[in-house]
Parts: sequence; structure tokens; C-alpha cells
Amino acid sequence: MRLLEELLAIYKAMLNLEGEATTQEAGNYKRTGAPDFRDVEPLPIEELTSPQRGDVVEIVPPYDNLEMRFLILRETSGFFEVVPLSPFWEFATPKDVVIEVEGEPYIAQTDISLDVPSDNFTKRFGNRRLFKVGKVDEYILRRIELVCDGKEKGDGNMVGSIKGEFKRLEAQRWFALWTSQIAEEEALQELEGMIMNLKEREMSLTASEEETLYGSKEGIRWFYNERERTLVLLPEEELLGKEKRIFLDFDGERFILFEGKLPPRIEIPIREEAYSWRILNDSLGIEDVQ
Amino acid sequence: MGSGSIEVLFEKLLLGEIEEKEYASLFVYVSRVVERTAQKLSYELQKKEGLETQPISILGAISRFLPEGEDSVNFVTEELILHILKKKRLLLEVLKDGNFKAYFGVMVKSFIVDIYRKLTRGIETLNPNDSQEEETEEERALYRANPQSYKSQILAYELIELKELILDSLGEEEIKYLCYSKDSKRYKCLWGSKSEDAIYQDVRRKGKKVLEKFRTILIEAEVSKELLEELSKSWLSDMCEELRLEKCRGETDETS
Repeated sequence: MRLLEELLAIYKAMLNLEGEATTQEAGNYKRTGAPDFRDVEPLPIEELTSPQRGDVVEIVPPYDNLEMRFLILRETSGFFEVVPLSPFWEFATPKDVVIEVEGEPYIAQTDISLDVPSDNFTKRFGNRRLFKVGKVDEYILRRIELVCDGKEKGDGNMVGSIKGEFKRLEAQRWFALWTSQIAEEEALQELEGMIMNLKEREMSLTASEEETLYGSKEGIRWFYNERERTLVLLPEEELLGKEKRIFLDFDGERFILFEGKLPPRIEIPIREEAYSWRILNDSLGIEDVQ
Repeated sequence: MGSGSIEVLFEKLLLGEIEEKEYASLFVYVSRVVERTAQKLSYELQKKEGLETQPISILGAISRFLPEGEDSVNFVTEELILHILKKKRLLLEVLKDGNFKAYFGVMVKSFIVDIYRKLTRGIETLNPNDSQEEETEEERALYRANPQSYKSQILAYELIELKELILDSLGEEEIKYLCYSKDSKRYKCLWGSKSEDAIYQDVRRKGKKVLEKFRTILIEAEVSKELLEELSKSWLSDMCEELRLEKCRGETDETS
């Protein structure tokens, strides 16, 4: 098997191999005594709060079976241009630039870069968390920009069928993220629209009342963060890590807010006008995923 | 060992509060995960390549680079635990979120493959039967030449890839036309005792098609000028010289 062909097979095997790290069997490996780990310096990783040009960001957990990291290249007209990274530098094409993150090589793939709205950036990745795992120097960023704009050649010298196949798979991974982000945005708009409609109908029947910003139903509490314009859902502790679905049932329709393993906190960006304590109190629910 | 207790052990490890016995349990757990993940990856690869009868082993490939007697699972596990400690800040958050096992699964997989790629740097293949492929000493040297310069390593991979692409499409008989276009005086002997006029006619007739094929390969693979120059300087020159040695016996090296 050719070298790049073999690497591509490994990459595909990694993509296909699902599942958690589990084992039931007793191991034969022995290690007595804990070594002294005091010399191990932890990497300066922190949760991404205010994204900046040059930040290398990891999406946790990833959307598929491979690590997902990207570089924030630049901000233009309300969007951050985000460049997906891959540790498989061997597949570099003329549109890729090799960079180092935590001392490890990655390729910045300018041909599959995507624009993500800079407003509420960290909330654009569903219920994933973003961690800043590195920073890229300004002169490297400038080179990536030149490659991105087609003014300079990247570090690879050919594409060919194997690198082409790798690129196709990488684009698929990140495109899926991009479309799900758009789908989420559309879904949120739909949710806001529905709540606004119901609120209007309610208002005509009852006198206007001050909104209470927090409440609870069985298995879940919520509060509305006015400053960040975010609805925060807090599942009960004993449900954390379990496969659950959080939904709103109103007007004969069901709207899914979350489905999957429950994290301790779920944040949903919603405009203030669309927040309604009454609707949440009447229609919020949580159930097992069958 | 319950799943909750494993997460507690990881938390203790990250916080520097793990005791000796607990560390031994955690080590066994991590080593089993390493072994199973490597086996599953090897199985996936085997399935993909349809190599039902030839066992593929990532851990086997890694162990060929370790000192004698060192176990590859132990080696990967120890390195992985160091890696876990370096990612302490992130992993503590992942533990809090209840996503640890899924995230750890992705991490182990990437880590094993990274070690494999670093150790082998392309000079070893997973299938022991393939390891005797005719990679020249020069090619091997290229891989090791400048470990810091990923650019030169990318170029080395590309040269091999391009060479394979060309050999897949052009036969040995056709390569001689590329040699002729490179240096007509030096390589006209590849046509044996044929007259200059006959060679010229042949090159006009067949050589044009070969060059067209060659150009198509380069265009389809989007080959850069830099890579083409490297190909011409290294591999193509070697190929042409090999052909010359084989077919031009008795010729004086008048052009060199």
C-alpha cells in the first residue's frame, strides 16, 4: 500500500470507529506506584469567552469521532472566518499551511474555511463548549491570509486522488457543522416566532404582567439571563449524563430544545421579547430518549 | 470497576490526589482501553483493505521502534497519561460535564495514531509484507532528513505519490520519451541502433501522446512547478539513468 494511501485508510478507520472508551476485561498490565507528576506542566487551556484573531479552538465534545479544532483567522463584517485544522499534515495541498499548536503540527485548511457570526460566537456550536488550546503568531496568520486569498501558495505541492479524497471527507465533516449551525439558527427563529405568536394571543386575553425570569418543572429548572439574552436550562443532578430529550409542547406541536446526554447546563439564545414564563411553565418537559 | 469510579480516579489523577493503588487500577484501565482501541482500529483497517488473511497491527508497528523488551501497550499508556496531565484544565471541565468517556475515546484513538505516525514517519507500513517495498535508501533518507521541516517531508511524500501516479499510467517504454524530452542527445541511445531520423519520427508520432498523458497527470494532480522540478531533478533523472544503464551498454558517456 502506498504511504499516503495507508494514512488515508487510517484516517477513515478513525472516522468510522465510534464508541466510548470502555473495557470490561481485567488487564495484564502492571504498574505499581504512582510516578511523580509534579514536573508535568499543564497546557494553558482555557474556556473561550472572547474570541480573538489567532485563537486555536477545540470543540468539546466533537461532532464526530475525531478531534475538531479550528483557527480564528480574522473578523470581517460581523463574521469570524474560521479555518478548520487537521493533525494529518501529510495531506497538505497548495491551499493548506502547516502550523504548530502545542508543539504538534497541524494543517490550516483554507479551502474549507467558514464564516461564523461573531455576535454570540461561543453559542453558535449547539451545546458544545469551546476551549482555547493555542495561539498562532501574527506573521503566520498573515501567511495563512495570503494563501486563503490565493495570493500565495501553501505548503503542499499537489492534490491528486488521495489528498483529494481526504479533503472531500474533511469538507463533509465541517460542512455538516456549518449546516447544523444554520439549521439551529433557523430552528431558533421558528421557536421565537411561535412563542411570540402565543404571547400575543395570551396578551389579548389577560392583562400584561411582569415576567418571572426563573422557574422549574419536574427534572429541570430554568432562568432567563437578560444580560446575555439566553435561556439557561439546568437539569436535575441525578439526570446528568443520561440520554434525555427536553421539549416544549404547545399548540399541538412539539419543539425539541435538546436531545442527547444531558450536560449540567444548556444555553439557548432567545430574544427578550420571545421569553415567556407562562409558556415555559405550561409546555416545558423532559423525557427519556427511547 | 464501576464507570463512576473510573471518572473519580481520573479526577484524582488530574488533581494530583491519586494514591499508589488507585494509580495501578487506573493504569490497567487505560492500558486496556489503549489495547482495545488499537485492535478496533486495526480491524477497521483490515476490513477496509479486504486483507482478511494478513493481520494488521498498529501496536505491532509501534513495537518495532521500541527498545527490545518494551511493551507497546505500556509505552503508549505511559505517554498517554502524561498527555492527559498536560490537558488537565480541559479534562477537568469534560469530567464536570459528564462527557468524559466519549471524549476520552476520541483522545485515545488520536493519540495512538499520532504515536504511530511520529515513530514511523512513513518509513514503515502497517502490513509487514509491504515493508520490503522498493523504497530506495535515498527516499528513506529524505523522510529522516529534516524532522523539523514538515515542508520537506510533505515534498518527500508527494514525490513518492507522483512517481506512483506516473508509473500507474506510463509503461517503461513510454518513460523513454520523457527522458528524450529531458535530454535528447543523452537518451537517444534508448532507441538502440535506430537512425536519428527514425528516432525523430518515432518521438514525433508516439512521444507527443506520452507527453500529453504526462501533462494530464500533472494537471489532474494539480502539481506545482516546485514539485515538478524536484521530480525531474531526482526521480526522473534516476529512472532515465537506470534505463540508460540497461539499454545503452557500450555507449560512451559523451554528454556527461
